[in-house]
Amino acid sequence: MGMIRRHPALVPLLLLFPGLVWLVSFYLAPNIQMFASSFWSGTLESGFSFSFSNWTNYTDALGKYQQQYARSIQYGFAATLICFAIAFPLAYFIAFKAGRARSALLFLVVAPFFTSYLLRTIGWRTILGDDSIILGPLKAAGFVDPAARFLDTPFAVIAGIAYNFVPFMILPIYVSLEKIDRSSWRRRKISMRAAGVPSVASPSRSRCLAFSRALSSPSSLRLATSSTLNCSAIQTPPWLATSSSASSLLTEITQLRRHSASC
Amino acid sequence: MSILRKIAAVAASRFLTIYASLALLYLLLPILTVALFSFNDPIGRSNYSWASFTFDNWLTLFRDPTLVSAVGISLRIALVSTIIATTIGTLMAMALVRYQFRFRKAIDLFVFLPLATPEIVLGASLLTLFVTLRIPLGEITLILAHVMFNVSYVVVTMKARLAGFDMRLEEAAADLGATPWQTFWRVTFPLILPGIAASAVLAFGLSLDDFVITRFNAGQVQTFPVYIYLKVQKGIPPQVNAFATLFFVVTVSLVAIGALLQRRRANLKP
Repeated sequence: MGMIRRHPALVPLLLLFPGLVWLVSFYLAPNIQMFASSFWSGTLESGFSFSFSNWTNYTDALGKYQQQYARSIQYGFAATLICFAIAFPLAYFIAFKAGRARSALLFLVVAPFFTSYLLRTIGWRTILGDDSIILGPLKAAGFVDPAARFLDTPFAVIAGIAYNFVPFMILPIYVSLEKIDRSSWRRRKISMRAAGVPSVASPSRSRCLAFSRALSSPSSLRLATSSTLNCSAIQTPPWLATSSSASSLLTEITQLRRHSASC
Repeated sequence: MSILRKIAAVAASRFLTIYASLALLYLLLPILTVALFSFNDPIGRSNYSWASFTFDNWLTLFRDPTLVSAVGISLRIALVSTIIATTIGTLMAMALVRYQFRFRKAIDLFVFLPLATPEIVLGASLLTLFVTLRIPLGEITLILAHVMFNVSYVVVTMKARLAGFDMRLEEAAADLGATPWQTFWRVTFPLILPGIAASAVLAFGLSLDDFVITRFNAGQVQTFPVYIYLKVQKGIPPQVNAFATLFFVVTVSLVAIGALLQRRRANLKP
């Protein structure tokens, strides 16, 4: 205690120390080691040696696993589109139309987090199975070829990925939509009508503006998220904090990406 | 014209309601399926198609010793890693929010890096480290790994909470003669407790559910998710569904009780 009082600058270092040691040992060190080993050559029997001339490992890998990389990117892209198609209307509904049911609906959005990720995915195997509630009746009625299947197709994989990430898209969109002041649309509509501008045009235009602002600007998104978290410090139930922290994580990651892109 | 527009508006809002309900159904359908199939009496080993209703799976919850031990190991690892990660993460967040020092921004960025790193990279690189250092894989390596990925989540949650903290309360305590230690335990800690609870719930859930990093670093140890994964080929026993449903119900009830208590506390305030 005495030393701390004499050197107040030490306090933040002491607070950071255990966490930093942990992250340096079990995050940074393994990643540096993995990067180093990407320049290795050799086999398990003869041992490995490091040389910068082994940069060809990268071109080898890109050539050999081209198909897998391409598939990952395609599936990721398709799943993102599906997530948006599901998340945006739902987030919009919860933010503007749900009324008193709002927090109950938000709770339902985060409910999947309380069930095992693997089991939810296996749940989809049941739902999409070869004679499941969806395919079974369709096959029995003769609408679908009896050999038709959903499982083990790109469709099932993309649907599964989309399912697991939908809540991560609903929450940040909801948080930023909630921050939009709806009355400003109405005000604008009135002033435009007064100015003789057809009223239909104005709300839709400002809606577009609001949407694009909500979606395209990570900084406004971030602002919205952290302020929700701040005011939620005492009043909100922990699950909301958990979910909003999940969304703030996302915005932090977006920030991070942007930061690294600008470097 | 205006009637047409009104009809269009009503139709649009109906459509939105229906669309939103379907989206919610999509989110909840697998959970309902998992719960429903905990009451299934499957024919054969795989529990994918509905056969008949039974309570047996709930009555024989503890029949498979491997499953019981997997659940126990998962709970133990989640508990230990949550305690460590919440403690060191809260300390880090306090340093990052309240103090100005060199490299603060850099450290801030560094703490977020694990969140931006794909899980498979985290898992594979940690495995390489453990193998190189000849650290035997098991519960210890799993705790090391789980604390690593949980710390960043805790820091993010706590930082947001601490940013809204009214520093005048601590100054008032100091003015009234409290030592820094007393100020922390009697003023700061009770105020940030909801944030700590939220971070701990998040960390516990993430640890309990983690599969990718765990699979790389578990060695012979079977956690609940690893057990499920290994059973996929042979058929998952319906008791797994029962356990998962139980976890779900317990978590949801705890969260609901927490919300009710907070609401009551909020109502008590003048």
